[in-house]
Amino acid sequence: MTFIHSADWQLGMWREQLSDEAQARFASARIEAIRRIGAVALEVEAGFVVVAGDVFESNHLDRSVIRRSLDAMGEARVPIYLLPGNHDPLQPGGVFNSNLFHEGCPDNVHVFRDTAPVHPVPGVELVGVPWLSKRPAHDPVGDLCGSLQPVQGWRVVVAHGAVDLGSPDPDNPELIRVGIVEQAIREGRLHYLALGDRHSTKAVGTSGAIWYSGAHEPTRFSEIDPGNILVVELGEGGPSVRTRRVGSWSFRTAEFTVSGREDLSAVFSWLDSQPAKERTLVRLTLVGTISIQARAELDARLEEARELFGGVRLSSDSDLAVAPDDSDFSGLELSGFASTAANNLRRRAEEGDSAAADALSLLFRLARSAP
Amino acid sequence: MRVLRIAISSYRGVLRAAVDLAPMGVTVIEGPNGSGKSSLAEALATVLTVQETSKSQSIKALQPVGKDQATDIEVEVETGEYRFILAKSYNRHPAARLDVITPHRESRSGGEAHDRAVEILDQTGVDRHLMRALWARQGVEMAQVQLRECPSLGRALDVAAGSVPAGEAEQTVLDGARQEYARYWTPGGAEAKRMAELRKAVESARVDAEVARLKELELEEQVSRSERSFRALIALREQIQELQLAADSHAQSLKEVDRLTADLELSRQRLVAATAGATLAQDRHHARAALVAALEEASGRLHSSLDALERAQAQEHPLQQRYQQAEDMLRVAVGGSDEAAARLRARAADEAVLHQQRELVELRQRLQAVSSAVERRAAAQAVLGASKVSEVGLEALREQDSRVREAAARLAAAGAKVRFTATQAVVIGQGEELIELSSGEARTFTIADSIGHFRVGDLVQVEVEPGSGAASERERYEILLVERDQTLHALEVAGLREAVLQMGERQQAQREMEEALAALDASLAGLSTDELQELAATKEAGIRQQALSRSWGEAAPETLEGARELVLKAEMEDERARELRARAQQLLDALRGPLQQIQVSLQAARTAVEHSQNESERCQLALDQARMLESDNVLAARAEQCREASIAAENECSHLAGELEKLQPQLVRDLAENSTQAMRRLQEDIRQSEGEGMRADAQVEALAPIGLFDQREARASELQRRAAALAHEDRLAAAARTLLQSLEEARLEAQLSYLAPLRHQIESRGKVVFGPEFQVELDVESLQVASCQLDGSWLGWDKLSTGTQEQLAIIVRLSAAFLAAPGGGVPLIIDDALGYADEERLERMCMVLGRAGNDVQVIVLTCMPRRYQQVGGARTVRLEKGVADAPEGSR
Repeated sequence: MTFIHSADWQLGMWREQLSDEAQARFASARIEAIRRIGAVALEVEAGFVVVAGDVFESNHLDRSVIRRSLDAMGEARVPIYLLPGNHDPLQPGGVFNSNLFHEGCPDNVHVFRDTAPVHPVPGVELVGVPWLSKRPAHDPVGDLCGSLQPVQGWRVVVAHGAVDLGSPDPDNPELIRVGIVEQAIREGRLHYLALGDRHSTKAVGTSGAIWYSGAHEPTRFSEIDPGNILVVELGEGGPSVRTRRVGSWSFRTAEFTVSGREDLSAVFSWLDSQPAKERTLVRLTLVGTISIQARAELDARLEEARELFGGVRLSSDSDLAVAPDDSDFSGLELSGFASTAANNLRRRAEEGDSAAADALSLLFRLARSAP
Repeated sequence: MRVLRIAISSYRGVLRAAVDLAPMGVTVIEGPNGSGKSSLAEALATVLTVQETSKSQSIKALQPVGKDQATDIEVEVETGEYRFILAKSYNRHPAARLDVITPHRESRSGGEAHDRAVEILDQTGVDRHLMRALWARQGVEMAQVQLRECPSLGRALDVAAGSVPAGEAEQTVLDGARQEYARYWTPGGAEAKRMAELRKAVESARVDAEVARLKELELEEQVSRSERSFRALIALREQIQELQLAADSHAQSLKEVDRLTADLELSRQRLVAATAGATLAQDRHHARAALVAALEEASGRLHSSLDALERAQAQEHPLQQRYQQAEDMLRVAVGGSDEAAARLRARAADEAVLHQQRELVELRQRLQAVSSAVERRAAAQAVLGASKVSEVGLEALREQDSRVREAAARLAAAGAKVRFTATQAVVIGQGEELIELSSGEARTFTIADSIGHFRVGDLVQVEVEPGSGAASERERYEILLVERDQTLHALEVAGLREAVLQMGERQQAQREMEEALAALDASLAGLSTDELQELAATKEAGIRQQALSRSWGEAAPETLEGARELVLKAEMEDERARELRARAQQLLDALRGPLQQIQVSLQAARTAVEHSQNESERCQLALDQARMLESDNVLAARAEQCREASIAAENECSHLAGELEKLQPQLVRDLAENSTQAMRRLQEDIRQSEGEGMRADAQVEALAPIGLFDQREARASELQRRAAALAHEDRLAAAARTLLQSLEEARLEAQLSYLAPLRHQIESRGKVVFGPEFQVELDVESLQVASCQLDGSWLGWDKLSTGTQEQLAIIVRLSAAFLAAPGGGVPLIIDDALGYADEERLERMCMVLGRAGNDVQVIVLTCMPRRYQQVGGARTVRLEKGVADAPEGSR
């Protein structure tokens, strides 16, 4: 029996580094990815799809986001089980409780509103552990697993949240206690725990039956291997898990140490080499000192890149100083008071006066356009 | 740049002129007005700057008036390494030619010639602005020279000041910096409107973002409220389940307490009943004893009453006999009294009849007097009614009669008097009247109203005319006469006498009338005649009736006095009978009181006996009946039995109360009540929690959560975008300000530094002309003279005399030309200047000019050759008006 495990769609997500236009494409891509998941499900003959929490970015999304998302889900010819997560808990005024959702929810889409088991296909019991608030006071998964009885066929639990395994604060009562889950797995009371919350694809523990599928589309630079879904096959030897990429966007980071135009060329080359630039967000970390001319060139190239990429920004870790050198003004043929002013500004810039450095850049631009 | 030759032809009014100029030193070009001196200077500027094909008005104006001729200009110039001849024909058949002599020969024509010449000039740094500035024309150009726009001077000053000279690029940079500055700042240093709007937009976006954020926070708060309510509800429901168990236990205890309480109540009721039964039995026992005692007492009272009755009956019998005797006496006295009273009434009636008869006679007399008075009154009224003379009328008549007589007397006096004295008997006729006069008889006639006609016998007729006053008197007389006659007629009398007589009769009748009326009033005495008659008739009828009804056997008295005597006698007898009756009555009254008293006592005794008998019988009956129902012994036994039952019931109550007390019923009730209240409170809490949850849910719905996230994100994004844009703009603004400040500071510094060599040059020449104390201050911006010190005083440019201004303007130009000379320089052209200089100044200026010639090409144009005679080393060229090339010469 095969099913699709996905999570953290976070439909309606905003990214501040995106322009309005890119934001619209980014949001649209997250919905479009649902259709690709539907296609994969059809391809692998999955019996159902579970989305382990954070289906929506927020409980208070725009109507259009909800409508478009439901529309995309409705196109999948497979049952989809949605689990409310910490972004979209089952709360008053929340998405899953809204009339809009109820009225627009396709027949193949279901919501785990409690821990009552459902049977999407014969021989499979599906138990969801929905979030009822943003801050649960305990581990409902552990509680559930502790009370599970052996079952005929397969039992899949769908949950959302961080696990205590590897957590810096393993005593946090909100964390999912992996030990209890693995105990239930060992005892045949549970066969697969589909987890959501981490956006990176990752197996948990050693059982091979506890997985974070990761987000179907990447959401931030820090994610490791996002944009995947899991194709889970339940067999006699336990669950078999394969990853399938469905994400279309990329979040890429790069660090460069620059001290001259050659270094800048490496940066520009790296930018040029990126594929699918319009669906790629780039975060550059540049460290070093460059001349005014080099800075002007960098700025111009970054501006061009911003027009080309989904988004380009310098990270806060960047430490790029501008230090005018002789070459900045040698070709400008400044003389008289302008030369004196340039020299004064240069001295101030070298002392760390950023306004003086900016003034030098401006002088550079004006002098270049002078006859 | 050095100008070696200038030649013009058909230039304005100049047919042809040409001069050769020394490349250095001073060349003084002399010539009368119209010889073409100024045209040569103008032509130099024209040929170097204006294309030959120009159709401008200023070029057209070069043609001689009224002639369509080509205007030719040719100059030979040396600049840098170049030496060239540039010739241009303007207006008709435009043409240009350039022949470069050094460093390499080359020739160009047409536009190329112009372009190449300009290129060479630019290449060798020829400053056209400076060339223009150093062309000093008297009057027009002797004002302050515009040196600021001269780049060569700027460069020269830069060089002189020891700095790298600034060029056009620097100015462009400065202009660009100013434009950049103006994008962000006002001239006063305040933020430009655009920046303020950007900042405002950021603030607006910040407010929007904050509003959206707060709204979402509020939503989260309401959701949390809802969750809290939900959790509280669950906790409360768990609590209420626990509480229910305790409440059930308390309820069970309470039931036991209630059962014991009910038993105790029943026991108490039984106790009350037993106690009541014992009390009743005791009461009945006491009542039996009381009944026996009451019977004994009633028997005692009966005996006493019977004794009192016997005593009263013994006193009442003699008193009753005496009373009957007194009644008999009174009955006899009353009979005698009634008889005497009847007699008295009969005799009084007889007296009354006689008295009425007398009154009837008087009434009849009064009626007769009335009749007589009525007749007399009627007679008097007849007299009064027959006459119309009243006292007033009579008095008026008398007055009128008196006035008539007076008028007649006056008429007589006014008329003519005719007196006839008969000497013999004669008949005198007057009208129809004949009057006989006897002899000696005289008769006087008065002629008052008309002519009197007299006849004396038949012999004489006499006409006598009345006097003139008689007419009016007569008229008055007749008027009065008429008035009197009217009065007489009104009074219906013939004359005053008759009136007087009638008046006497009236007065008599009036008196009789009054007397009759008095008699009438006296007789009637307030009654009318009819009433009087009716009274008499009534009285008469009464008398007749009394006579008929009299039944008294005694003979009626004859007279009234006799009747009165009989009445007096009857009154005395009646008095005696009354006295006897009164005495009998007094006796009876004296006996009635004791008799009634003893009769009352007797009745009281009888009543007491009867009452005592009844009471005694009633007591006896009651006692008999009670004893029939229950004997005295049985009654006593039952009372004892009831008392014992009461004691048993009391013991049972005490037992039950002890059992109940062990259960602490109040505590049980309090606990049960407390449980109930706690349940109620929890139920109320649950309702409140439910309500609060519903309200929170409603608040959540009211906040329209759908879309809030996107609104917040969109506004946050907008804020970030705007803030980033503003930060970027702020950075650019700071850069623009920093750059402009730096440029301005550097420029000011440079200006101050390169002003020094210019000021030095001006002052060194000025001290020659104006004295050793001469100093000058230059405007940093314009490089113009701001003020100078002359004869110990600082004077502004405007305060200088025209001559001083002119001399100083030439010195400034000489200084600028001197400074610019190392870079190539341009000729200083002085056109008819120094016309205002005195001899001393002129001499010194000539010396300065002469010295300047060592470094600068100076061209002096003048129509006053003597003015520049003192310029040492000057070369003089004379131009003749309208002639060809000037002959070369020098001094």
